[in-house]
Amino acid sequence: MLRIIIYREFLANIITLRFLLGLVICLCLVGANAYVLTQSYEDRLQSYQLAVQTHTDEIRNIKVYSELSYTHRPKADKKPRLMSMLNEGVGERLGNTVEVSYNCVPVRAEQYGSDNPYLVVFRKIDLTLIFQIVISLLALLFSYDTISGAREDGTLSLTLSNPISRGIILLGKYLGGMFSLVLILIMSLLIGLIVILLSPYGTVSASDWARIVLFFLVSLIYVSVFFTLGMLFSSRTNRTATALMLAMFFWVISVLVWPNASSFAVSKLVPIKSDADLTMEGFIDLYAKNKNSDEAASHHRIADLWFNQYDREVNNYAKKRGVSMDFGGMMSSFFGGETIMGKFHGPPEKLPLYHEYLKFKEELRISYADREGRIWQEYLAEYPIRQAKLAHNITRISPASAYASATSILAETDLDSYFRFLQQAKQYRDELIQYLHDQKAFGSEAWYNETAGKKIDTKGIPLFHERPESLSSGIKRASFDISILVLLNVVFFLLTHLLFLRYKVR
Amino acid sequence: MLKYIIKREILDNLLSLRFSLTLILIVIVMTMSSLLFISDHKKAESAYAMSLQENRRQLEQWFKSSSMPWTLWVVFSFNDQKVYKKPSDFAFLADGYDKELPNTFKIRPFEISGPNVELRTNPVLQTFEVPDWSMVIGIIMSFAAIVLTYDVISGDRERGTLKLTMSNPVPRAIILLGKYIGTLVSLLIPLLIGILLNIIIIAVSGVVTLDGSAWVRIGMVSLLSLLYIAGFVSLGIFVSGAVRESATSLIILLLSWAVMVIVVPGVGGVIDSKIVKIPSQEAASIESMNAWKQARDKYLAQYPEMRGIAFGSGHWSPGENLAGPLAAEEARNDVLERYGDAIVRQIRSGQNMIRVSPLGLYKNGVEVLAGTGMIHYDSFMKQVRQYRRILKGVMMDKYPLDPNKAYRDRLGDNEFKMVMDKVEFKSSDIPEFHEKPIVVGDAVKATIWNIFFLSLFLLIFFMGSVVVFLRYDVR
Repeated sequence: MLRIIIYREFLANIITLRFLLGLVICLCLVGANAYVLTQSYEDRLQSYQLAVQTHTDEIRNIKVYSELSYTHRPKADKKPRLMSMLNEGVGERLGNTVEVSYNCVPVRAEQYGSDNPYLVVFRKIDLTLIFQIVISLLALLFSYDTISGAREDGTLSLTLSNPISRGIILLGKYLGGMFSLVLILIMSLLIGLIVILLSPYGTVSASDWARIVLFFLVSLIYVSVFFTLGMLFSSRTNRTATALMLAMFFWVISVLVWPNASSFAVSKLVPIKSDADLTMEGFIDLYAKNKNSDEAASHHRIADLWFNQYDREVNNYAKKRGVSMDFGGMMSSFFGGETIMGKFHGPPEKLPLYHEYLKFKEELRISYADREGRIWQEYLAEYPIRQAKLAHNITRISPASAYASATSILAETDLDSYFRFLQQAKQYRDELIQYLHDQKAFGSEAWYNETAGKKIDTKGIPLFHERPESLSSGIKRASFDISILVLLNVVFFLLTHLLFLRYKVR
Repeated sequence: MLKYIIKREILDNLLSLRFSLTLILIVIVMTMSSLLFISDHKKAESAYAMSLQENRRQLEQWFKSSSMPWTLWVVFSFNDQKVYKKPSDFAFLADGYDKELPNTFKIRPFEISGPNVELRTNPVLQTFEVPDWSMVIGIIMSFAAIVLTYDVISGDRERGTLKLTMSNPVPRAIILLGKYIGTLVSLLIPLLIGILLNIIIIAVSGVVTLDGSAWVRIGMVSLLSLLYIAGFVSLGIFVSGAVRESATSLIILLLSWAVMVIVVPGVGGVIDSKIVKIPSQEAASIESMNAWKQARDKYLAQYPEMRGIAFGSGHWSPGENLAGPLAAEEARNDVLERYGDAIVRQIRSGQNMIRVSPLGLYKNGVEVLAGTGMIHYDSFMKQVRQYRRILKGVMMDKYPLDPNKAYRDRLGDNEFKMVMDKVEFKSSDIPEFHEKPIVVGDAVKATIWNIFFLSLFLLIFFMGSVVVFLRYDVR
């Protein structure tokens, strides 16, 4: 009996004009957008490859190790994801390249290869947005009259005259309606995939396939939220029109109003301290104001670190060991790095001492950079990240936001994936330090003298390799959002069931 | 009879669930929008004032701490003046991503560097659409318009009231007009209440002074909003008349709404960056360096005695001749300005493409009137260029010597020093940069096409609904 109800409901749905219209619109939108997104992915991939090439060449062509310190710092580049078509997320906007060196801890990424900085004025469209808006609307339009409509045209009393429980009827109506939506979803996704696969860059790996399947499942759960909601409204009221209006306004609030409003409200309610106290730009302003470096630096934690503390430690060491200025090179720099090139000018017998001094100085830089990184980390965790997480959690109440959050995790374009990238860049820094230690680069002649006896082995300098997140950890992270969606489904369905049991058929 | 139909339609709507839902939604969102704007604008204004003050203070510091000719050198060749984009007083109408677009340049008489974004917002906070008028009216009100009109004709037919109305001796056109006006008025009620609430809260808070020109802007935006909503009403009535079932009418309307309001405005950027090509940043900087070199060579060919004297380090230092480096920098600037224009043009053409959708037209019109977005940025950029020319003029005025001549011994040269010492130069000689908003008249003029196309959108569907309704089968 259940099968008959499902079959009947499914057939009744797919012969309607709304099904045809929904299908055509979805196919057109997804197809056109997949094309546009593939194009922009190709562009991004090209500029990524160019960036990696340039950055690799830069460190492969260094003459002395100290170039890694300031002028040719290695860079970690984030590879654009094919799956970002599913959801652009925040990943792209936050930047995709970051400087990494033994004396420089990556805290904030920048943008490579963006020729037009004003493209922010266009809202990005991805598949998530299309499904979020269009398919959820379709789900509501498919379900708002499942019960009240059947009552209005009299079929409900006929169906109920059969010896089946109301629960089975409800389940049948739900599954029948959902199957027709699944049909639309699958066909749109297929169109999108075909467009992607036609592109020369669109190689879909095994893990990408799994992600696409998961994306499909999450989309299904999301669509089902709106379908069950439509059924709920439909069983709550006797008139179809009322059910429709309630459904429409719930949709507007959860898809359009809530995600926008709550994020803004949070940014107003939870004040954020400016990072001017931390950036070097801020320090230079302060310095120009006070004209007294010590005083300015004392207000400025990072400048104080390098300008006062580091400098003092290096000077003390130099004084104690009797290193004098005429040895060549600068003594130190508050930017935390310096590139020295040239020959040692001092008396030859002082050369080992100079090397020891260099070794001390550069190794000290590692620990100071660590401290700088910690200051940044504290600031970010206390202000921007806290605010962003709060906003994220509040918006998640809306199914549309929970859906977007889950898909951005699957597409690896969410905020945590960005931090994951930075974390990997930090591990890359450890590799670099290990390499420099292995080569005994600190305090060697090859640190500054390009005509030193031993040529440096630039081939051996490690490069950054981003490791994509494993699918299982992605699923684990997305599970919270997915469970919100599942929960909404269950609640709506149970409520519908409850109301339907008491539904007056006449 | 017309009056009667209108009245009936309005009363019918006022009592409906969808009307009260619309009203509540609009009132809440518009109130929130004004509150957010007030706190946002206060912050933006104080940051702007502080930046200006800081910039001026630094300039005065240079004047205090150094004497001629170092002051000349520092102020003209070394010190960057920072100029800032003024936060628009009318960002509550349309934010236009003003805060994400660059807001500052560094500037010397020789060159402009930038643009830069001085972030005052949280970079990791995901930004959505700012709930301003253009969003509330452009997205939510247009949605409400569709929800209120999808069954104007087909619903009446289904209920059977249409037959009754038609049995009266009234022409069909009048019935349609009555329905049209009635629906429009019942949509304008929440719109008007929302707008008034928003304006009153902002006016009372006093963050923005609303003078005559402000009212012109607000009035024009209200007119645009009226046209925009009226356009959606006529679209709704047209589809409602063209389709037998209200359910079908609703789905057609909602899907076309989603395409016009959500999808089309989003794809403009990507399509545009594919169609309108701009040179890459590297190419532009190489080209500008070549222009610089050419101008330098030309200058050196003209004044061979300047070889080894002109074009030292930096732009210009005391004693060095002035004309050569200036000419070379001008050549470089020209290339960079052209490049800057090209990127702005790319965005503008993308925005023009979006104008195929009514939301694109409406948003663009509101941004022009509010003086935000790309239009704001473009005008700011042009003013900054103008300001650089003014600075250059001040520099030429204050430079007491022949700009084509070099003074070899620099400060050691007695003649040079004597003349220089006589220069009177105060910080007040350097004009301050205050960004001027786009004049109201210009803004209104710039929206004429938007008004025209929105009216066209309205008229086409209105005519369509007349045609459809005249041939409508009432059974």
